[in-house]
Amino acid sequence: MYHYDEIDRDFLAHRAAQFRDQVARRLAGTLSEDEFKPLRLQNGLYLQLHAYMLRVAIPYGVLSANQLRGLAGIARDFDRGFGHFTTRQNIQFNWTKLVEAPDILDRLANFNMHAIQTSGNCIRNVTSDPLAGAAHDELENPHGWCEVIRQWSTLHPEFAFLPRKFKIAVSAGVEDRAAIGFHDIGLRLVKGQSGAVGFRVLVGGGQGRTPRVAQVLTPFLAKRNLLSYLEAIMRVYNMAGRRDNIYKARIKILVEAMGIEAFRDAVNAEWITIKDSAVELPVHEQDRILRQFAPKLLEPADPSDDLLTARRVSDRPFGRWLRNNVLPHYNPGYANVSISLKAIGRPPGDASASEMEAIADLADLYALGEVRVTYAQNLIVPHVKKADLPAFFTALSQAGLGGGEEGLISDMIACPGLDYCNLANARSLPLADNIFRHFADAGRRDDIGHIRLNISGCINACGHHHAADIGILGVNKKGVEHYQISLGGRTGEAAAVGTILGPSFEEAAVPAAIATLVDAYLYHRQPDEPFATAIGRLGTDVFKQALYVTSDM
Amino acid sequence: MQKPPVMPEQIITANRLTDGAVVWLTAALEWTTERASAGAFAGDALSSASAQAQQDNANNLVTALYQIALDGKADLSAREIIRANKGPSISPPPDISPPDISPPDASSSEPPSSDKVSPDNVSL
Repeated sequence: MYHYDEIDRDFLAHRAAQFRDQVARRLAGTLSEDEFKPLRLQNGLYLQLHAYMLRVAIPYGVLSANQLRGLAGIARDFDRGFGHFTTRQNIQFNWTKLVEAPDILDRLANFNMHAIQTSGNCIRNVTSDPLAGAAHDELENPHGWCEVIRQWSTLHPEFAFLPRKFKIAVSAGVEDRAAIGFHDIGLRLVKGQSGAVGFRVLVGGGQGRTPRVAQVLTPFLAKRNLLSYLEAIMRVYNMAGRRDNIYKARIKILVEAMGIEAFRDAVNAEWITIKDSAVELPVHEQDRILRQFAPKLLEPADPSDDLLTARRVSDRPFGRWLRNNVLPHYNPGYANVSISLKAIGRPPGDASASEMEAIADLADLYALGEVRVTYAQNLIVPHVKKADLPAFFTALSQAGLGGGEEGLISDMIACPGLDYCNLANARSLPLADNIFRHFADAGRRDDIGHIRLNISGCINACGHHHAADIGILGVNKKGVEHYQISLGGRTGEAAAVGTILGPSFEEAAVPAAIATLVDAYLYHRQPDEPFATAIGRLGTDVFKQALYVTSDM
Repeated sequence: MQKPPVMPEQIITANRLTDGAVVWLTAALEWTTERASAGAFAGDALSSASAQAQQDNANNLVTALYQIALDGKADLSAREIIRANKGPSISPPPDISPPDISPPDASSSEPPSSDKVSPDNVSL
């Protein structure tokens, strides 16, 4: 993890004081709402349906146990005792008050957190692989580079008022766990022809009303040139990106309009003027940051599975959890534990204050005091000794968090939807719950296997429905909530946007419609063939037919 | 000759500036958090109510001000029902303290070292 120094701490304290003054001026009436809105958004404060929502940045999804406890305290003292973890690895508090927002920022600064650049047309919190530094399949830890980008992009004066918001993701695993193909810029650590590690740079991905998969801008960028190259991309976008139409302002539209070759030429023309200049991060500073992400010194640990095997035979919930939620670690004596924030009755991604505290305690007790937020709205405790897994599971179960839903149909991504969001057309959270209840049989969920099912309450696609095996989009049809179903979207190397299957369904009909799609898969699948692979082999027509011939809309 | 269409009565709603709470204007032209107490305005009463609401908006009592027709459509939309109910249609997990998570056998796992959780070492 990156360790704050005095400069970082002074900066946060100053920023919190600045916002306190801005809020005071708004309450006194010397700032109008129009004047105040961009200021509050720059501090992550939105006005939503019922209250102000504060989005707190969790840099690339990494928290210390103490920071998670701090967030729990905010949930309890300033919200209604819970928080909502997002696909961008942040946390949102849904019930904050404007008059208390300065106190929350002060509290956050006390444990080195903030809400800067979690909104507005700037470079947002950089996202990454939640298993970074603990994964079994990564080239090297990408989090050091995330921190380099975080420091470069925080309050970068040239990029504070971009045409539109800007999202960067970095990953280094064989499996892409950061959805880099759906980001404005996606960075993948790769080995070049010489054997040196650098970045494959993708550009122009995104979701919303115009979903696009990012294209390769350069197959290999030397690490030392990262910042100058990013700066060149941002300059081209900042100058040429559209500002006349909010729906056409993202970089994906610019890349498409110019064509990737012309866009690349423009970036290279800019890059050549700043490459190897003072824009690059000095080597000693790069080393200072990357050193903080050096591999952990892990105690030797027994790689044997005997203890686990014995318990999994006698304890079925433990067996499910072990199979689904215990993820491989680079050290065979260790594992990474995914904690499912998905259960019947629980809005996806929500955790209560006491649950956050329980997870923080587990991370301290059984691991290295670090917790990660995932793209799929779960939490991960990395570096847990295999031998500690039974005790970890027992404690987790006692806290009501022992579910084993990682990657299953129940592991849904869902935006807050109309229950909280001012922009939504339809609710996401109760629909997710109804679908979960429809698949209440854990044995059936296991049999179905991995399916990414994502729900967005409107076309802004915060629930990433475009990138899901089964995507659900909430629409407003003559004042009634309806849901459109798409199929075949995915993240990873072969990222793709899903295909809409046909007319939308009323809310009550959606769980059965999903079951119809699943049944069609179960009928047609080959041995051990995952859902995504089956869609690739079968195409969407089989599913379309099953859905619209058999279901009563 | 056709009668001119009758404009449905209107309710006026906003968010309270200080905490964002959903509020409605009452017949007495005061703000309430109870949807059932909202006034229904038409004609001159609507003009007066609207003027009062605009003034309260300008005076920083409320923000995000708008009117809704009581026509059985917008006023009965899911959005307005959720606003009127003062919260989501599915509850978040309750904040109940779980039991102590200390391991049954203290020797099986080392407790966290003090430097791991000291304030100076909290990092981002």
